[in-house]
Amino acid sequence: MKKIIFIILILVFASLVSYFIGKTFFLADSPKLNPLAMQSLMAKINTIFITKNQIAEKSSVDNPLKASNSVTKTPVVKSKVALTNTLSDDIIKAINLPLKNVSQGVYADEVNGNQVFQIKTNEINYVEYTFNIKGKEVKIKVPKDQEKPSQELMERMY
Amino acid sequence: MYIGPFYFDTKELFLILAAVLLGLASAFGWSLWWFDRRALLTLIVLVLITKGLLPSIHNEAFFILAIVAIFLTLYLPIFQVVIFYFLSFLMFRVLKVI
Repeated sequence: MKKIIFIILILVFASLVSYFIGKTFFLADSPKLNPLAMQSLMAKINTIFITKNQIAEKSSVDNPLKASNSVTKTPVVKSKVALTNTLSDDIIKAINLPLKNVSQGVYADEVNGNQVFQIKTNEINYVEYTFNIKGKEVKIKVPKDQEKPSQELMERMY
Repeated sequence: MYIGPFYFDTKELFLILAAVLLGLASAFGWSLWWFDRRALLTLIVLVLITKGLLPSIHNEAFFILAIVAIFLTLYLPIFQVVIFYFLSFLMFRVLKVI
């Protein structure tokens, strides 16, 4: 029984870790490594800390009795406004930056933990496939390096 | 049961039978409810390879892992299931479960 519980714990831990690794270090559930993996990780950590701070600030604003005596209501509200302003400036900065080419037609960059992605569909080489679904002719474009979708998948989509 | 010089227990025979059935399903285009044939076939190949590395006494933990991995293909992309499978296998070995 002890062994079974141990196995279940390992499986739960492994599923959580694999989910995290798959989303952080690889691109689009494929074995391609994410070139921005470390930045993405740092961004996630930053987001956790920012969210924690925001929750702490919100609770101290909502419930001033719980806040420490030295902190008054006004400075907390001020710091919240400052945080929002910083985020907006960063996002504006990130959008205006020239982005790095990650793969064909895909551009990305990061400024202070904010990720910006741009997909230029006209730069991607497509292959056009024609399918016959329920008597209708359906044409779809697939990026050149990707596999042709199966008839079954197409029927499920339409 | 001996097949030539190799000994197979019941679980291994059923695993091979499942692999053969999946191969046939793939070849003849039989559809399986909810499950993706390609994902299952990929997983079965990994299971067969890793099963070859283990003695039969560790079948219990190994088959729990295989069943959980098959179940996860319903909800996760195959790449994440493969990471899960190898990670669990590695942890089983490191923590001496198998």
